[in-house]
Amino acid sequence: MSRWIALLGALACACVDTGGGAVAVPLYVAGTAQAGPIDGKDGVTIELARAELAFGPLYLCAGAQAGELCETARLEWLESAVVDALDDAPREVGALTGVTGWVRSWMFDLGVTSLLTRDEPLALAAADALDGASVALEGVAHVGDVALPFRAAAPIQQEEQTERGVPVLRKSASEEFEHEVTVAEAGLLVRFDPAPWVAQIDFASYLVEETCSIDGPTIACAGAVEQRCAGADVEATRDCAALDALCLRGIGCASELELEAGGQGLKAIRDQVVAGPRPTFTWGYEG
Amino acid sequence: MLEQVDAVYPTEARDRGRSPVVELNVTVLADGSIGEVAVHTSGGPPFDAAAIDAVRAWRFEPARRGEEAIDSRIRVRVQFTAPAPAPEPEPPAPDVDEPSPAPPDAATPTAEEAPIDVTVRGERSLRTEDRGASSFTIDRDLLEAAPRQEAAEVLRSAPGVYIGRGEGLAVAHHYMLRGFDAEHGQDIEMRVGGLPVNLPSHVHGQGYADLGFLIAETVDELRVHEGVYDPRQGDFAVAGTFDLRLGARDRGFRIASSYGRFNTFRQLVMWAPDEQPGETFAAAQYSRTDGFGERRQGQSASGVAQAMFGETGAAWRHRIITVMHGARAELAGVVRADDVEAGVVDYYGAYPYPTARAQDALAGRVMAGYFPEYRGARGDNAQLGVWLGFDDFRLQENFTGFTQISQTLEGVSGRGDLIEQQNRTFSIGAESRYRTRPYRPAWWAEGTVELGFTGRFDAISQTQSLLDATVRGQTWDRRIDATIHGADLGLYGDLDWRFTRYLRLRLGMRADVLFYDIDDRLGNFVPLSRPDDTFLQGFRRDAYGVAAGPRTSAEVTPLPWLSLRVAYGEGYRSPQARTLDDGERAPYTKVRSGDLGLRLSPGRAGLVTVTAAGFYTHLSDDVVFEPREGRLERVGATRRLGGVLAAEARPLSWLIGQLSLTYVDAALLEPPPATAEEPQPPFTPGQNLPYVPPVVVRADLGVAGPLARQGRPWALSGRLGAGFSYLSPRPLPYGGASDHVPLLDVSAGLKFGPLDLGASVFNALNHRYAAIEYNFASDWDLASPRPRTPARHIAAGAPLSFLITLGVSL
Repeated sequence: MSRWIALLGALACACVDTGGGAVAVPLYVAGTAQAGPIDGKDGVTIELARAELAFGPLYLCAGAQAGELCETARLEWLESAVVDALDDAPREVGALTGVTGWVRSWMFDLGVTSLLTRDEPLALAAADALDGASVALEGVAHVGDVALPFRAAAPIQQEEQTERGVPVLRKSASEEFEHEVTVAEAGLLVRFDPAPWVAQIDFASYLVEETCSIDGPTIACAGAVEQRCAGADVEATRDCAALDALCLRGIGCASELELEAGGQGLKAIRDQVVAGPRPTFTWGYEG
Repeated sequence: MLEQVDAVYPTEARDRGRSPVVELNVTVLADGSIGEVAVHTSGGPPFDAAAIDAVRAWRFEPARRGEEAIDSRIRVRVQFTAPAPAPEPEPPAPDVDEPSPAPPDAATPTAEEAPIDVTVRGERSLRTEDRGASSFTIDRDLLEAAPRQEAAEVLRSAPGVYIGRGEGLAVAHHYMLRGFDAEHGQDIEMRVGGLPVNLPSHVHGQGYADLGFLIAETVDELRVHEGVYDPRQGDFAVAGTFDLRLGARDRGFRIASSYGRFNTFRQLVMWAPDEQPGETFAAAQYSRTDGFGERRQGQSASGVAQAMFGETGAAWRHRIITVMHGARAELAGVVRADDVEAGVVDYYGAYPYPTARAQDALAGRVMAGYFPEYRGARGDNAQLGVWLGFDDFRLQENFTGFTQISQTLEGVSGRGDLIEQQNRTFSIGAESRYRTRPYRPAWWAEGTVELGFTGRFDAISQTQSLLDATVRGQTWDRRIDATIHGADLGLYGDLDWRFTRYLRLRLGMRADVLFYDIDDRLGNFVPLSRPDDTFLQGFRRDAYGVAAGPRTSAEVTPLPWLSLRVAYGEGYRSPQARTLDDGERAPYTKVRSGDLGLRLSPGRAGLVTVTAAGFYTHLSDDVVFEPREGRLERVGATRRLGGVLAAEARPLSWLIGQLSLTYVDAALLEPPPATAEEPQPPFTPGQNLPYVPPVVVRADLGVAGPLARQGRPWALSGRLGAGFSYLSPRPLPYGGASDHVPLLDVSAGLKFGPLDLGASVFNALNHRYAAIEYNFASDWDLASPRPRTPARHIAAGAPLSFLITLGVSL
């Protein structure tokens, strides 16, 4: 009897137009190899040794504007992966799943996602791999003839209370993004370029020479000499060169610059990642 | 009647002094002899046997169509009168030598001297409702053939119909009828004992119709009119009309207890006075169950009483009916199919969160009606009716998990999408109609004219909110708070004319005027976008419209056993009043329905009836279920094109069966286009209508008869029954299709004198199936990124279960 029932079901199924179909689209990520030093702010050049990004989840939406108007998405990838943004070679990280049809916008988080059900964002596996950060950068900034090694690790998450539950990166209204996803879709490649992320960091500001003053920082650098200030008075000095270190404004003697939360360096990175040049989306990529 | 033999009062029953009535369905053959005889209303086994023995010896003048004698079915009512007790012998008078009068022959009491009256029904009913080819009348023999878990499941025996329970005992069934997923009733007009069941503008679904109050033993006949071709059909008659007539076949007192799997218990108490018509009865039932999985416990109680006053054949007869019903049930809600596959939640389980564990429903309803009817001596007739009802409904259900953001409290979100819906409706209505005596202006033309009126007024209050189950149901958002007053006044006329014996035309017209007065207390609310002090919430508005259209049908009968039918009608469905704008002039859905088919009834009456029909239905504005809000939303124009093939047969007096197959191609013609707010509408033009199964199959088989000689007080009889329903895969929103649903129910029973024992097995194939299946985005995982793509959600249907019933009839 079950054979007859199955046959009846197959016959009935054959003539049903359901208006769409489930689809799984392989998802690839890649970075961009840097051919040479990156031009930074105020003539600074930057060489990146590490640029890793926690990527995901990713949603592709039917409407021209993602965000709150993407209550129902066309495709989604709810995982996360660490992207080596300096590696040109695409790497398959999973599959977007959803239904066929047009997509016109995208939105994604950077390993740290905002949920409606909790006050604190949720760190996914990729962010955990980066010690809770969304972006991890290492390199050397050349400010004049000074080589400034630097390191940055920044969590980037939804901060707008009114947009809680919505991914932090979204396609801008003016950006072109339109594609009809079919069941034969080969794959989607998302490529990131880390150069803009560091291009707006004001590295030179960390190497400004000055002495203690009433309006100055608590730690000033007079050349390679670190001055600990109490207003205009110098409380203590230290020769960084003797320590084989650099004197960094506001930081003092350090062998490398570690960009701190709340500082302009991390803010510049966040602004560029969130609102700067977007990753490129390439349909039809077959691995 | 040419020959009549009196029924003999059963010897073995004379000590009990009963005076029961037995009603028999009798086939009078074209030669005037008696064919099949079946008990319609039992007076108990010995009386049934006595009545059958007598009637088999009768001879009739056969019914005629024109000059030709034809088979006919009549209902015969046999009234038994208890013999008077034998008089005490007078003590002999010592001075009188005359013998005492002989006592009556106590060994052979007879039925009352002239108690037998014959009522012929069907051929001369008050009015003909059988218009299109897809009208079906299903009598009790067939309704009782297959086992039913609930009384409403008798509807499954109608071609193209499927009903299921996806939301527990306290929420209306899910109805489907030939290409319509009518959800909780928005596309099907339902009447029970003359009482309208649909509730307009109900918060959980337009036309909400809960048949949970039905008691299976009181359903005497089901009439299903598929399409809208009779001007008497009113609001919600979009796919058609279910008309359930109530009555009690078995007279006397009956008590029955049932117990089965999942700790399911049902208790029935029923009383049908012997001397009263079959329509007179009172019945009450209580049922409870632990349910087949988590959070499926429920209980319900119903009471139905109906009394018919007036002698059969009298000019006036009066019927009173009252219904009371209450039910409460826990709900498991829906679960994601991918979560079931991943083992996150069981197929028959529920999510562990408080918001899922707080799902439940409550329903209460009271209805009463008074329906007098008049039968004039010259064939004219009239029916009147007044009725009123009160319905209370409250539901807590979470379809989407944790996706909602409060529209009224800034920064409040993710407290669980537990939708609370409340709806209270007070309704009052009246109806009347008059059909003239037949006019015969020429030998070849004869017909009647009918004028009718229906009217109802509804006062509805409804709310919808979001509750936080972790804080004792704290309200964290309000979505609906409205009071609606609505009225529907309908007028219709109907010509029913026959031209020669070959052609019958019915031309009708119906017009309904709809009024609405809406106090939408949350209207004009723009969430979080304007300061509170720039406006006051609320949007009061009113609207009216006129829905008018023809109801026509033609029947050609080239042969006595062949009927060709064509029908066209235009109906309407009233709107969800909250969706109306101020002054809207056409606030209804227009339905256009056509039907073409034939019906064959070869052989003796009732032997076999085969129906084949094609149909087309167009709706100006359809609705489908929207899980995010837990209610129906507009989806634009739709059409259905399909056909039905049905056969019913009674080849032997102890065997009855029916088989039907319905195929339909239901398509969305103009779904709402993409908008900024809804950039990814779930439907595309031309796609098959979601949730509608293209193929519906139903089969019923019943075997019933004596196992030992009848006529004795402890006669033994038995019955076997089976019912099979099949739904093909249903298209779902955003693509994809549901699984198919094959359900087989079987039963067996023995009756031994006043005792009966039965066993029923439901879903005997133990097929794992979804009672309802949806496709939408939800978030039931608090530890992962929010899913936003549509996912399949199911509410499990019941696995194999059984029920054993022990009854006593006195």
